[in-house]
Amino acid sequence: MSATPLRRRARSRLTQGALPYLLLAPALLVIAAVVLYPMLYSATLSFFKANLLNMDRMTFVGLQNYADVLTDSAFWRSLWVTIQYTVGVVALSFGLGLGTALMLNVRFPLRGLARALIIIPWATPWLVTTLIWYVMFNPQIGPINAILKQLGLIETGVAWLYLNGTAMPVIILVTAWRLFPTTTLLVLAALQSISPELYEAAEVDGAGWLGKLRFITLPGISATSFVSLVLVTISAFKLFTVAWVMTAGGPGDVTRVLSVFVYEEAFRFFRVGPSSTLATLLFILSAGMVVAYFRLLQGGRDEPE
Amino acid sequence: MSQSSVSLFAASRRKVDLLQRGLVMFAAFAIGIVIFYPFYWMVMASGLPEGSSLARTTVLIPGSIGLEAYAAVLLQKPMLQWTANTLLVTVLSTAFVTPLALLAAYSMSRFRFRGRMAMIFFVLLTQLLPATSVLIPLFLVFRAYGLLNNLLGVTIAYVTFLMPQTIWILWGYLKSIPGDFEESAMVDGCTRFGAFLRVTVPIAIPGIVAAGLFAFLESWNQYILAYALTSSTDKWVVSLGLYAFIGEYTVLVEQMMAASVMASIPALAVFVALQRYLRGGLALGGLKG
Repeated sequence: MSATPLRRRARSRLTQGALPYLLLAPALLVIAAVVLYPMLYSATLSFFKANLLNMDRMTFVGLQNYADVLTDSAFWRSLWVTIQYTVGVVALSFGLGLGTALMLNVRFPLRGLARALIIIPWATPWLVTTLIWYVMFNPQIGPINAILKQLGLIETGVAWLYLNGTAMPVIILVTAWRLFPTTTLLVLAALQSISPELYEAAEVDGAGWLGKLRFITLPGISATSFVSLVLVTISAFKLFTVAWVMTAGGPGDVTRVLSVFVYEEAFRFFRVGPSSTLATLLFILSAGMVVAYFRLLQGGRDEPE
Repeated sequence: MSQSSVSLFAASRRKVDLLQRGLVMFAAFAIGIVIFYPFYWMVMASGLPEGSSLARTTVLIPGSIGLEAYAAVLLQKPMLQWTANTLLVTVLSTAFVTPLALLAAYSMSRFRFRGRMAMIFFVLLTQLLPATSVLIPLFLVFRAYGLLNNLLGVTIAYVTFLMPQTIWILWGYLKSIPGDFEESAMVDGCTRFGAFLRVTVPIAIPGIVAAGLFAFLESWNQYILAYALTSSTDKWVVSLGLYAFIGEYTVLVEQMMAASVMASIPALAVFVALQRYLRGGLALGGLKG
């Protein structure tokens, strides 16, 4: 870097003193009060047995809650359901996002309008999204069964939300419908930044549609795709509303993701200990995911751009 | 390659291009229908006369379009109160979080200090946690301080998830702005903080607006925190009012959809007004490390 001595002094002044901490202090105080404190409180409660409606009677049970939760098949089942849900949502919304971005990158009439409208599902409140689809999938009055009947694909109404085989695909579809536009936007921006000269050069070299996709388009959007995969993973992993409103975790435990599991333990069964234990385990699990993410980033840096 | 084969090649390319464009347009149209059909259905169902959606399924053409369901929702439910509550909580939490997050993000993007990596780690970690995992402690603390069933309590609860998210977005954006401008201003005699206020903040406006927009939409989306922390209907936010329709929905589909339309309008309006900031404002450098 070509820093002048003055600039270098200015830069060295940046790294000194209490200013970084002073700037950080207000946000840090708030985080300590409303994020860190509840987490630590939760961790403390995980060593007790207590009922949410009668917190005066707390008994210290040590690691008993952890032993209980970790040997409870419902916990492992819920973790597996969360993985299914997250992976399903990430895959479907990425496919939709990539497909729509590739399309919106081709010139056609009304493309500007299509680009503006594609983001609308993302700006719709989660609960509205969920309610619309909830009614649309209703076996009696929902249009989805009606359309499928008219097309001759089904004969009688299917109770999509109440069948073991269909509940999870439905909530994955609804969640992906709401989340995919961010991927479209990000990937489209990356597509637009690929130099057209690269494509021209490839055509001169005789590359076909597939060749251009594989050797120019996909490498050009890989970094952005990674970002959008991370974003969608974060959203899907912690999501509560869809699984709760559409299926309440059911039928049985087919869609009981961890966020619903934690909630039910606390506010349906009032079991403070197991719920706090779950919250703490989620914290540890999330920490593991962040570490894996940082590792991935560092691994990516060694690769040629 | 001879001259004629090049021009042949170009001509066939044009044909392929046309074909490709036609195909893409057709596919875009088909996908557009699938994507927007739920909105269409919501609006159509909301325009039906009371109880008629039970009688027959509305797939395409409604018998009549009316405002009956809207009037019913406005008259029978405190829809306006819920909307006002939501606006209050959403605006308060966004306005509180954004400036503090901006200072923190600035500190993280411009300084190397002890604890910085821990801060980055923590900010990302908290975004992965479901809101339900902090509900018990919030519930207990709020009960102790009389913040249950209180809009101030709901606002504070919203801050728990908005603060890390907003810091993250702003950190990513500020990282993408080179520090040279500030350094020049400091060489010219500005203090560090003065340079931040007069140079960095104006450049960062798109990022700040985008982060604020995200915070606003996230708050507007919130459901479970408000659900667990409020009990009386006059303290509800609009998503709780919507959720209550589930219990009665077999008789009130039209009202449920009318309320959904009304609940979407403020979020969509804010979004449409500010969406030009979204593209530029989301540098997302934060996620790239």
